[in-house]
Amino acid sequence: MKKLAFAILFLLVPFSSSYPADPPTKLALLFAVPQSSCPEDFECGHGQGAFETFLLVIDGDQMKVAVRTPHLYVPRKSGFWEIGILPPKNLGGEQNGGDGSSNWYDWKLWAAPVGKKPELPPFDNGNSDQGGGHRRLTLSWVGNDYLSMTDYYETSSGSLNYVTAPMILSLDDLGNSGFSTFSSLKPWSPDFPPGIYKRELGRCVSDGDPDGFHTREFLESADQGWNVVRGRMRWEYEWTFNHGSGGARGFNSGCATTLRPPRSLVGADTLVLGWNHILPHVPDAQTAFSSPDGSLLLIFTKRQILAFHPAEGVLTKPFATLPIESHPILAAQWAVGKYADNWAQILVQAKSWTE
Amino acid sequence: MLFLILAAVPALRAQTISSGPKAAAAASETVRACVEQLDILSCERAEKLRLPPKEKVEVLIYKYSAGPICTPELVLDKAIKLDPQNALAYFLKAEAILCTGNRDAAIPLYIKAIELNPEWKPYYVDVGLLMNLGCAGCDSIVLKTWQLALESSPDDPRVLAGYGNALLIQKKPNEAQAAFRKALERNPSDASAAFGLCQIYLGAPNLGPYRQLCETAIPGISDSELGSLAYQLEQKKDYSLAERAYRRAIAISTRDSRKSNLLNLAAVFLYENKAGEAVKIYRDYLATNPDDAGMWMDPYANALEQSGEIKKAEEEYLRAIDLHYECGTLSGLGGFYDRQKRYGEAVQIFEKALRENWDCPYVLLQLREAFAGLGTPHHPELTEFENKLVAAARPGPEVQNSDRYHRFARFLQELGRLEDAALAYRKAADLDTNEVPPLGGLGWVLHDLGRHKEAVAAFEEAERRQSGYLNSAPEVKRRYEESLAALKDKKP
Repeated sequence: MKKLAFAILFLLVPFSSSYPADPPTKLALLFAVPQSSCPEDFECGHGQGAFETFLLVIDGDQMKVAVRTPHLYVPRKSGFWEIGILPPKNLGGEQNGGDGSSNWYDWKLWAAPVGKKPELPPFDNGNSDQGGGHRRLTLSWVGNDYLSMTDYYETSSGSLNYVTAPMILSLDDLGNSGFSTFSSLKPWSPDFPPGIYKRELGRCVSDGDPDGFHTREFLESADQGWNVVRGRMRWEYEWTFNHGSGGARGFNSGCATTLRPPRSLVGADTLVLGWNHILPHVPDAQTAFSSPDGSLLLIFTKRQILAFHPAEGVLTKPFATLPIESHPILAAQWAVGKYADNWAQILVQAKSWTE
Repeated sequence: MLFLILAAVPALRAQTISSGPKAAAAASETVRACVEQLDILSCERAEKLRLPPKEKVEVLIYKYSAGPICTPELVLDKAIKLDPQNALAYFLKAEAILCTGNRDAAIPLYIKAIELNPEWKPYYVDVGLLMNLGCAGCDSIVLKTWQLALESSPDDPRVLAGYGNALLIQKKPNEAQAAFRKALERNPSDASAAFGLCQIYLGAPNLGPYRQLCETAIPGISDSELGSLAYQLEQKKDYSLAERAYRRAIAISTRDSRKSNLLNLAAVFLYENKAGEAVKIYRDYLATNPDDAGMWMDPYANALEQSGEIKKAEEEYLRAIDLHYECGTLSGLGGFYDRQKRYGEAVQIFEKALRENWDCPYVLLQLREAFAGLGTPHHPELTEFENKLVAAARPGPEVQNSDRYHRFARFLQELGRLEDAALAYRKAADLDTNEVPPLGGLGWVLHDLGRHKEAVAAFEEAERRQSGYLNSAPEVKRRYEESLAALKDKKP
């Protein structure tokens, strides 16, 4: 297979919140979303999962989708990578990866330079419950070097397990061996001083919780996991508590946390305007992104992307709008100036190994 | 120990907020961090501060915004209680409620928010579109909402088609057509407007030149609209366009609707003589949905048969019966044997189907055809079997109700035992004097028996029980008119 070399120059632009005198003529935001057609289904996955990547190019007062591709591509220092989820092989009948089949557990998460066949760990039947079960993998965020995913699985016989296991994984690790079983890769986890952790847990504990999902006992006896998800203004942690087995199996809980993913994980991600300057003008705003130089603000609503030049902390009329379907944003990266065209060129020519 | 002191700080701060400029500055910074940066910790602290009501409301609103999208709106209720004129609180509450799927409750809150903040009038388009999806109690305000949307956002690409759809829902097709046409003049590829017009013309006997509108609609409408369009096209026997609509629906639909669209596409393939493609769909579907085998094995077998895989088809018909022994799957296999001219086996299977369910649809007719295939259409065995079926079907003393006699009457009518059928229809009509269809059936068989006077009486009795009944059942009405004409001809 012809290997495509993607020698891209990836520009890490230092963030500046001041409005520059000469804004760059061209900016591009690459963002990825789950595909609307099959957000959680493997039927249309064909090995690359069900994702879409858009490259939005903003040139002066024009905004357009320069690239839209049914793959999840992210820029890395070494070039563009593709991320995907491979469901169990559809072998037909009972062996289709469905609940009763022997390979129901055989899901893989992979990452590889675009065009290169990823390393896929062989299916180890010893890890699955022979009695059958149900599993799925979902992504919530993909950065330059890490991604955040959740492994959900339920076993339907023997020892019943209902596991929700969020984890943050290194793209390099995924590139080396892929992810297939729970302990096959060591997840990245936030490193908090014990006092901070205690404070955060304390904020969440509610011993009077009538449902019992936020009592100290429930939370402390659960398996904890961290995800990264897109919040209104930034990438945020999602902190979850799962009881996979035992009497409380299948019951999960979450805690809102004040802790934020470090810049070393999610990159520069600061909005040039406060949310109180955005919401009164765009009350249906879901999330927003500022360009690295602060000259551009893109607000995502449920049905469109609004582009603004926020002058001196004030939101005026959008200079451009683009209709879009509502999706959680999984990845977002900026390219500035000539790199906007460079990315467009690379992505137009990119050919996934799955094609 | 240090942790305990730190944790106590917010509470101390709240208590000392009015105790000096330093504390006031700290409070102000806490509020700023909440509303500007959506810092959840600051919002929690700010909520405990003694603040003027306006600031308190702001804190509550931004505390809500700091949480995950679609969280319950309790904190917004607090804000609305403090400031019942706060547009933002109403808007966010509407969004939160819409997340739960309660459109009816969300719509009035959006309207309230827009009324409180006229700068948000462009959102009337979104409200109108929500109303178009169906909303209890919106009938009286939907057109007014769309007029406000037209005034505030005349250039919104969604507004004219949305207004047209609202007019269509309100049964104003001419005005709807005008709105759709205007939208298409502005943007010839406006899928919503094209879909609106396509729907109007789908009601006409011939789609003809308007087919192009349906084609324009297909790339841009939702999967549920595509499903509906494809079904209507299928009814009009425009299978190629129905196929395109289903294919597009499959490409964009969610998991559940994808399944039904796939199965519908398979049915279209059978009409289009593309049985091989239908086979693929059914085979994949059954592979991933083994629990549905009882229902879909039979169509799968049918597709195999149409594609010429006769041996495999028979196996699948038999498997369908194994999985789901009932008259439908039995008649499937019987029909297969009949088409393969294996009439003896067909007769056996049809008889099994009728023994399973004596009024299994169409099977009696199929059984007679199978006997005819054997070269013995009036075989004494057939008559004997039918007599046994009639005995089994006759309502016993424990089921003397109208519905049961109505079923029995229809069965006798299908058998051609019209005199007996007339008696059973009469009995069904008398057992429940609110029931109308048994009288229609009675008139029908009396008409077929040439007893026109009695037929007219039965039809008119039906009409007396339910005004407009004859107009609602054209085949019944035709027989009524024929009986009337027959009586007229008889008169000197």
